[in-house]
Amino acid sequence: MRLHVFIATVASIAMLMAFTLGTTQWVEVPGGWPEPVYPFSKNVVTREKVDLGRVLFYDPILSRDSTISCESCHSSYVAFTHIDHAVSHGIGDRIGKRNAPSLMNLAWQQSFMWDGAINHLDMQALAPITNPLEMDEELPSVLRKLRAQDHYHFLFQRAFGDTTINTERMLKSIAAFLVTLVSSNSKYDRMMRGEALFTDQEKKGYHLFREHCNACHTEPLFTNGGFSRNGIPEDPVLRDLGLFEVTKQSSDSFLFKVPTLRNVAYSKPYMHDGRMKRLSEVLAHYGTLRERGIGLNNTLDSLPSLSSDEQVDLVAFLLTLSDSAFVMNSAFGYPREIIQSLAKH
Amino acid sequence: MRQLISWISIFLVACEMSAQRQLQFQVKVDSRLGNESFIPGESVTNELDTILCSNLLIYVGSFMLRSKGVEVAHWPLDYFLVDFSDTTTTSFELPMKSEIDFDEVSFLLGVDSLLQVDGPHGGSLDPVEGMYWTWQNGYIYAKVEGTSNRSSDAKHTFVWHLGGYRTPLNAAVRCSLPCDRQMLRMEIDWLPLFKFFELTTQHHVMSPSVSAVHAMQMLKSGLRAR
Repeated sequence: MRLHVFIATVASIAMLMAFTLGTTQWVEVPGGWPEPVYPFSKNVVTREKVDLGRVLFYDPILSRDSTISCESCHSSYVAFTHIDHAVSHGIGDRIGKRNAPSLMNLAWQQSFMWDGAINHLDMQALAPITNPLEMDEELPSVLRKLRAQDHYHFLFQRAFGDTTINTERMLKSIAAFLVTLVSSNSKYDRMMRGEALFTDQEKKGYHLFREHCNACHTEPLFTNGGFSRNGIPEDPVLRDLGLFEVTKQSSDSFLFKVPTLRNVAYSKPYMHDGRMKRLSEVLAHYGTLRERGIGLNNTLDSLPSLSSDEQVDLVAFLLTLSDSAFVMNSAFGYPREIIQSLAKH
Repeated sequence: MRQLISWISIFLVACEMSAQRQLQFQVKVDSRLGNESFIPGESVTNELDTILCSNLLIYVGSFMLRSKGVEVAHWPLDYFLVDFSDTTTTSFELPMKSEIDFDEVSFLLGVDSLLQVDGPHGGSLDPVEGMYWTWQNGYIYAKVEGTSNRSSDAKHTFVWHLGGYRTPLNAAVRCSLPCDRQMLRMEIDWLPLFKFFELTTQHHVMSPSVSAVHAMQMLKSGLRAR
């Protein structure tokens, strides 16, 4: 009897450890960070699922004419955004209306898209796949195409135990890859860990940041996950009303998601419609709101005018948020090694 | 050997008896436009105009049986996509654990909001069914498409995709019908919906809105048990 109890206890501990490893092995929570909000218990992240999600992320088969992949607008080497494009172009060079957001630390995000239209990371991929300006594909067609590819049978079998290819598995695999995109090794992070020192200018910039920016771009994620007015005038062509487009509440007009500032130096151009090409333009915009008499009914109203020196100091600090190890991480890049191993099968 | 065969026979008989005893609550849904049957592909002429429906689908689910106002059975996660162009979807069954007395059936027209912030679902709630807004999360609870003489659209079409889960635009409605048997046969009369929408201006409704919320209430008002 005692032996049975012992075996049961050991088995329970082993199962618990396996579960814990399954949920955390691929997404380590950096020291001092809050717990992720992504429900790992409902999508246990495994290497096999991450591999499948990564192959899907880089596969243009998800678009109607197999020309556009997720990577087309979210390139790893620029923190998974679309470098030098104010708004992204999708299938057939169709132009969207918003700047492609960078992708990182998504397990800590509650909502997605500039207007918060997507409420769960698992569901995010459906939006670009079916958007006529992006990948312009229909879900049944995507599944048909995946089922016609032998290597996807193999990858789904490896990730889920059988060859069934369905919406839920496809979406959860992509999400599994996305949650592994953790950026936490910038100079700022190393400074916080006591492994690096700020220069005097970076230090001044950090103090200014703490005083004036941290309320919205809150450390350590450098976003509070909320929505805010940014004070730039409405584009008369794009006519983007932000959160209002989702809630239809007039008080939500022109509220846009507060983006993370991590890797911001890589993710130009800036703002929801990419109208600002340089960080200095963004700082000049926010730093002169007061003297231009722009009131936004948010914390930006308390932002004092910033001198040009202060703006430069702030930019110097923002550059410390660049995580070269993240953007150069081959585990996030084109899945060449997986494709090659598939060829052997 | 003979003993083994006897045991297997007893087991099989027990299984069969158990299967026979399996209780089901059955639901059958009919579609009407006023006094006329209303299904895709068949035009209906009434006092308003002539309407030809091409797509007519609605989610029903989260069925609940009540006795004197008290819940006695609930299937919170079972949802059914009723497609009136496919008769295999217009009736369905819910397993019952035991015989119970009840006098009312309650159910949602639409999908519970909590299920819509919970990631992907399979079965009838699979987004592949085409009843899911991908550009903005949320299920389309009812899809009503077709042509009408009154529609001011160039091709006289109407496209109503009714849904929305976020407060205050949560359009799902809980409905109740009297029922004391293990079968509910109900009708959805779409006429209140056609009277609610002004086809000269509201021939296309395809996102969560106050109109969609009211429209789902109209569908509720058109429900009756047969």
